[in-house]
Amino acid sequence: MAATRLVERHAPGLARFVAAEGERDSVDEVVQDTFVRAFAAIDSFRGESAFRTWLFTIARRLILDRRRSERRSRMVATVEEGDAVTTFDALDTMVADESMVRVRMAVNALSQKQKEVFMLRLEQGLSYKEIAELVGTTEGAARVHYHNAMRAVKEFLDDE
Amino acid sequence: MMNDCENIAVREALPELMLGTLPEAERVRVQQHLDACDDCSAELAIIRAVRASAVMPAVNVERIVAAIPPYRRKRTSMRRVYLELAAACLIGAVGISTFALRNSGHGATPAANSAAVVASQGLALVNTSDLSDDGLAQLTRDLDKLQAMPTVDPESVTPAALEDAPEPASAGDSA
Repeated sequence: MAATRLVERHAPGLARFVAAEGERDSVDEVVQDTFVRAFAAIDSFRGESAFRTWLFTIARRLILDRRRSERRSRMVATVEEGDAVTTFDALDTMVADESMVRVRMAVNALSQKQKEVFMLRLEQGLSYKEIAELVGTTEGAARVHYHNAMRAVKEFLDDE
Repeated sequence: MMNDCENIAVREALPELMLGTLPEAERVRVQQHLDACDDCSAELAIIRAVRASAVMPAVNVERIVAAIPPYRRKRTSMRRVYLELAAACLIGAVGISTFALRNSGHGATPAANSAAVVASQGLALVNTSDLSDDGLAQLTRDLDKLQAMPTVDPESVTPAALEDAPEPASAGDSA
C-alpha cells in the first residue's frame, strides 16, 4: 500500500523534526495528525517542493497552532516564536556522552529560529532552499541563521 | 578556542559529508582540507555530536496508517459550481432576449427584428443590409419553418422505418 510505504519512509525523520521543534511529549500525535492532514489534502500537493518538505511544513503549522491554542486555553506566558529557548529536560541527561550533552545544551541555548534552521540542516540534511521554504524566509537568511548558530554553539562550548 | 575557517565552501559541505551525500570528487577534496584544518575538523565534530545526540522518537507506522482516511477524489469546488451557474444564466439570458426580440412588435422595425434573430442565432451569413422589408420578413418566415422542423437522429432511423416511410411525392404528382 502506497500510504504505508510513504509513512515508513518519512515518519522517522518527521518525528525527529517534531522532537527538535520542542514537542517531545506529543511527537506521536503531531506525526499522526500531519499524515492525516497530508493525505486529506494530497490533491493540493503540486510537487513544487519535495514531499518531505511539504510534510514538515504541515507539521510546523500544526505545532504553531497547538502552541497558540495552549496559550489561549491556559492563559499563561509561554515561549514565543523567536524567543531564546533555554530549557533542558530530562531526556538530555539520558545522552550518554558528556560532549553530546554539552552540545545539546549549546543547541538548546540558540534562539528558536536559529535552532530550527540548524537542526533542519544537520539532522534532516535539508538544503538552504528547502529550509527557507519551510520556515518562511529567504535562502540567504537561512544560511546566515545557520552560520550564526554554529558560531553561537562554538562560543557556548568555548565558555564551558 | 574554536574559530571559523575562511574556506566557506568546505564548511558548507560538512553536513553533506556527514550525511554521506557528497559526490566522490567533492568528498575527497573536503577530506583533504579537513586533514590540514583544525577549525573545520572541530566544526565537523560538532556536527557529528549534534546528529548523534538527536532524539530518535519511535513511531508506530501501523497506527498512523490506520488513522489515514481512505482517499477520495476532491469534489467539485464551489468556484466551479459558481462558474457553471454563471454560464447557465448567460445562456438563459440570451435565450430570453432572443424570444423577446422575436415576439416583440414594439420599438424595433421588422427588419431589425429579423436581423437580430439572424445574428443571435449565429446565422449572420445572410447579408441583411441588401434586403427589403418584405425580403427580411420572408427570410424570417423561412427561418421559423427551419426551426420548426423536427430533428432526426440518423442512428434512430432503421432500415425497416425507411421501408415503411411513404415515397416522396414526384414532380408529376404535384402537377
